[in-house]
Amino acid sequence: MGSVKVLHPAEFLKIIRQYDLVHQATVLDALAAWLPWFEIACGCFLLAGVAVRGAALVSLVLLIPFSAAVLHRALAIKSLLAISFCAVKFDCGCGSGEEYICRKLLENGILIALSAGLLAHGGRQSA
Amino acid sequence: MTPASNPGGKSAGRLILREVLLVSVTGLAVALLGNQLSPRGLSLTRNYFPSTAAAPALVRAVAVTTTNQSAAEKLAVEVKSAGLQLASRAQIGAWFADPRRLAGKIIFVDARNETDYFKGHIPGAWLFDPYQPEKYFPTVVPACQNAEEIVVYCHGGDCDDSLSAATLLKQVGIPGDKLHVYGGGMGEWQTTAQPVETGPQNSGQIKPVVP
Repeated sequence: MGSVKVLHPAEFLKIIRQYDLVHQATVLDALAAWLPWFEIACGCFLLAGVAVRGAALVSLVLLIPFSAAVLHRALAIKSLLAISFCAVKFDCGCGSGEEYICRKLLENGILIALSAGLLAHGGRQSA
Repeated sequence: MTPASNPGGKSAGRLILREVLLVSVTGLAVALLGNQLSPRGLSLTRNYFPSTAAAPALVRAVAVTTTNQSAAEKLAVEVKSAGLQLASRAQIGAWFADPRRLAGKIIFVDARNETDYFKGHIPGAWLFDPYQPEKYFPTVVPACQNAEEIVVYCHGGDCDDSLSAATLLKQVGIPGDKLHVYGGGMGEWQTTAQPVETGPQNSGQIKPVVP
């Protein structure tokens, strides 16, 4: 997912701006410029099996607030359009384009569970 | 949780913290380097949204809603407060038909990205992606200096890249009174059956007009 955002940082910048959570240009630019690369680096650690529990903890620290922000925006869209929650569809900036919110949250839930699992058990061999 | 389930809880905790540090520092280094080396990297010292505008409407292409009207009204206010002009569809049509356009005295500036531009743009329009301004300034600025009227457009709807592009051009010295933001953008242009050029500027590949 990070690779898609790395290829189109301007698009990612526009999307995270729509969350209306960050108003300082420099912070917004830094988030859009660095976050995708940071995600890729984190993913590489996990795939390579190096510093697995550390990478899992960092993933958790990223995933939980991201999911909360996505949920917050989805609720705002739901309220604006007066549609059911699962009918809400938008590009959350997750790198997968427009997606239905319930599916996205399910995906994030699975990722959070996997990260938590890795944090709890992933480092046994190396430890 | 991990330290509690591990006999060497403290050392396991320290190990995790060391790993977190390793991942964070490496990630940050990769991020700094990656953004620096990428041709599409963002500048951290630039405000890519130089207008006074807040974030665009919440809903973007989610569904056709009543937000179109409010987006147009919002754009009009922002254009005015940025010291720019707002162009109507009728004005755009007249300028497109004006012979001065062929002499470069009336120019169209496309503020979308290269991919969208190549898929179709207003014939003869200059590409100016406001997220990579340095790449386009050398060609677009002289064209703007030579022009009497400049029309800047993007997708239309709640897209405000045309406003960002026009503001950037104003910042490099193009007078605001000849910078016109076409809010309807490419979306309106195409739905009103106007000619569309594909490929690079002046490619001559014109899509047939569908009434």
